Amino acid sequence: MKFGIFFELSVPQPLSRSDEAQAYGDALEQSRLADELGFTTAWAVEHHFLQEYSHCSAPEIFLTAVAMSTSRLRVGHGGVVCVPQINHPIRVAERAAALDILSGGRLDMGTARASTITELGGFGADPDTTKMSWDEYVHVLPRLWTEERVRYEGTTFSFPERPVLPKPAQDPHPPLWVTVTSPGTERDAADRGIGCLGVAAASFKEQERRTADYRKRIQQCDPVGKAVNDQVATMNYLFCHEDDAVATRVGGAMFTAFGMLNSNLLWAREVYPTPAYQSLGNLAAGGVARIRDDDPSRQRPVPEGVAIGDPERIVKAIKVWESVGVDAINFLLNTANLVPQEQVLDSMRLFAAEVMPHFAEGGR
Amino acid sequence: MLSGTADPRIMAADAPFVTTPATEPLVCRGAEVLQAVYEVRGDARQAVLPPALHPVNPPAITVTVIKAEESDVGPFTLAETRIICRSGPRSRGLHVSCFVQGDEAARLLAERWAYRVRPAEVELRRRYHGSTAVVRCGELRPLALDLLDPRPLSPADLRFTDALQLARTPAGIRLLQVERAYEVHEAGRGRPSLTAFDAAAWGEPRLHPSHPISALWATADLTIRPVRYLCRADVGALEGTERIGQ
Repeated sequence: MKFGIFFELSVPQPLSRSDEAQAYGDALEQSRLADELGFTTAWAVEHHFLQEYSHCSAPEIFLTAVAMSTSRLRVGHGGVVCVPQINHPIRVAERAAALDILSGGRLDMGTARASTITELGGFGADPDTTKMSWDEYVHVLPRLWTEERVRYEGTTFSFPERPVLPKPAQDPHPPLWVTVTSPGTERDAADRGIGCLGVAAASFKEQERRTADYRKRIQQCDPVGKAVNDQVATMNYLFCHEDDAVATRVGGAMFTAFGMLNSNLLWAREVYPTPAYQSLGNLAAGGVARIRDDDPSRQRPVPEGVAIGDPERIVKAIKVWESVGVDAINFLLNTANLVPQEQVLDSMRLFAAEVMPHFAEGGR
Repeated sequence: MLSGTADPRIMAADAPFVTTPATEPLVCRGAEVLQAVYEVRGDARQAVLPPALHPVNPPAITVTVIKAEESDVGPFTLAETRIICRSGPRSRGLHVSCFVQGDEAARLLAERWAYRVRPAEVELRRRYHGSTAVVRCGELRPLALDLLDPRPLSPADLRFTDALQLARTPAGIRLLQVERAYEVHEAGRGRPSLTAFDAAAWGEPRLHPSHPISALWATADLTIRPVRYLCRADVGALEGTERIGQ
């Protein structure tokens, strides 16, 4: 089991530039500590216009800073929005290759297609075609990284023959991932031989079913790249404290706040009828709804499987994720600067000391 | 997270008085539906919502026109505007007002579901090249909406949201959760064209449609369900939701 950290870079409202600067500064400090403690990867999302929820609109810049201030931590560019109106595929390939060089071959390349009308509408993108454009990107990116000159004529974009530069440091190229929110995307990942970067809070049973399906299908894959990435990662939350009640109070507030911010996004599925978006986006309202429907006097405010609690509780939760076949867990550490930075760092240290040793790779 | 800042008492000044929320459904068979979603200017996004509700980003409204030729209260046509919002984590639309042609339906919708009803001539026409809706109210033309370039969709591709409708009730000011269930027979999507939207006539002059998102049409059996939940307008849903009968 590998452990990573995952940044949305959420910022509280009303907005202030100092809060934004704090979110970025805190995240860099968390990345440096993660590097020291043996976490594997720092992932940064790409979102646009999602005020409060995510101010991470230029993740390649942030991840370059992470790479420059760490030595072993991999940088996860995930997921780059594979929609031509938002990112031209050649620019995606160029930026990723530069980041891979600057990080010394530590890039993991996530792909995505955006699921809010806020983002798609803001760039004038057509929600009907994002799955199609994503598919074209994942086929073209490995070629842009490995072939000297590439020409492409496709459905959602085309370009004449050009030598796309630079080429990445990793040979043949950085591992490819796709963010998995909608059920069924894990099949798309398996068929193309790319990793599943789960960002939805699936139940143990659902994750087990999806992982088994993925493992089976990827055996028959037609790889889009020169190397198959057959890893399954999930997203989780982390707040670890010796006192389970404190962990539940502090981490529970973070968990609830993130779910609420997420549920306030304007999903494409909600306002733009299309077969291309069959579910709402990541995390949706499920976690929060569970909290509301439960009796607060009897229940913990975080569902089973969330890594919020004392070390013993977190070890138990992760053992279950491990048993259902998950290779890596990426943790969200804070929401909108809600948890004081010192507490976040203490939580990471305690996790590294008391939880990581229970797992084979100990994170690294 | 942002919340509404409007004073519920001021908002409710001309809201319907609902003594007994609906306990029976209103069924409309074979109704025709035209619905457009538009972004609206963001400067008043909090000011148009009560504290119980949260704005979405970008702020947006739905304009829905329903032609119910066969219903429990006879034929009627309705045009409604809602502000897309969140109640706790849930997607909702805050009912602004509606124009209704059909006296019996207008009375029932106001008395039992707190629709802010304004009598008007409401027209919905479906043509091969799209659909057209017009509302005429005396000299006013509060709405002229077209759906252009229609293309068929599977009914499963449509998603409708429940509404919250402000009412004066014996217990005080409440938001009634109004649930409309659609059994869709035929559906499609097109490009919306809003050539008239008189925000003042709808009762909320701060709504300025600024950018089209989508338009859909459908034929459906539509049921306006009995009211199950009331919400206080001054506090969030987690704190202020009451189940009727408990």
